[in-house]
Amino acid sequence: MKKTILFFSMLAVATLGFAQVKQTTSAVVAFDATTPKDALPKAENKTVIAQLNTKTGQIGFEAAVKNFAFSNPLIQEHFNEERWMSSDKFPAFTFEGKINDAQQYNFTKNGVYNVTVTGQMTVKGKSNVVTTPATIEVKNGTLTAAANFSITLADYGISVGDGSKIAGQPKISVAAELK
Amino acid sequence: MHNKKKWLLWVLFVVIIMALAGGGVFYYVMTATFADTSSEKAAYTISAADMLAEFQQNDSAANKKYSEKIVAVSGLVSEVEGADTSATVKFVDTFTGSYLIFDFQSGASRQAAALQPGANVTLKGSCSGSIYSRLRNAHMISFKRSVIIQQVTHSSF
Repeated sequence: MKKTILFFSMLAVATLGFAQVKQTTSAVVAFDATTPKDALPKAENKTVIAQLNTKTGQIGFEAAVKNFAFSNPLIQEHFNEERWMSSDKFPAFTFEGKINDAQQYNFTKNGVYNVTVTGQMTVKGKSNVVTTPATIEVKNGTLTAAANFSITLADYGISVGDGSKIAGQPKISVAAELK
Repeated sequence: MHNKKKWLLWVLFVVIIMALAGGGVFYYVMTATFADTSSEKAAYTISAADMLAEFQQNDSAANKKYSEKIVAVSGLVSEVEGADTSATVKFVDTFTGSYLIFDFQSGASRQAAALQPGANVTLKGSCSGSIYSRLRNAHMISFKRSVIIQQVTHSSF
């Protein structure tokens, strides 16, 4: 009996050590919609939920819209208004996708992997397919992921007028340390 | 003729004053930044367990009550995640997995990163309300521009 308990305990420890779902609640997502005329529309959210299944390549992100921190109070207020992100009605940005050809990467092995991720980005209740290159560095079981890409706000029903004060295609950067 | 010229000068004067005032207000608004959270008065002071329970009982009412308000929250730290220039601190309800998470204002991150799980602290930040995470099957209540306002240390004799 004792041997059985010991065996299952060791199995549990081993399974946890090589858990195939790596996650964090402190991924950082930043967006930059600045233009030559306006340097204010940029913000960062450091409490983004991220998960990666190292076996299947499934990847997911969830960010609270209201936790994007701006330097300027008025711009932050505008960002959350109905006209822009309508954060009371649509409180989260989400991304659900997959690493393309995930089987060709061995994320249990230390190294830097250049991958391509494809998935559905949902902003303000509208979903669009996003494909972006990303890097994943594996070091002793911790995965450090980074990606930079742009989205077109009009695809999500957000109008920026002539685009002189807010970029119509803001730059998005994602950084996550998944354990 | 003389009266008309005088009247026009007055109109011009008023227009210039209004333009200057408008420009001043615009400049003030566009260059404004958030006040240091340490000096902000908390609209609510509550324990982490009570706040989590309030969100679990009635999420929409709690969101209305706390969103964009400065809230002081006390509890035992469950988890600290730190990066080079940032840190987050969590209070987790181990039964449901729901949690409060605090991101810190610049200058407060280093102190936050040094906290240990189990530390008894009071944090103050701007509450961003909750979202339900499908990835974690739990509620996340997040805070931005937070600071540590109290850390209870136990001395042993």
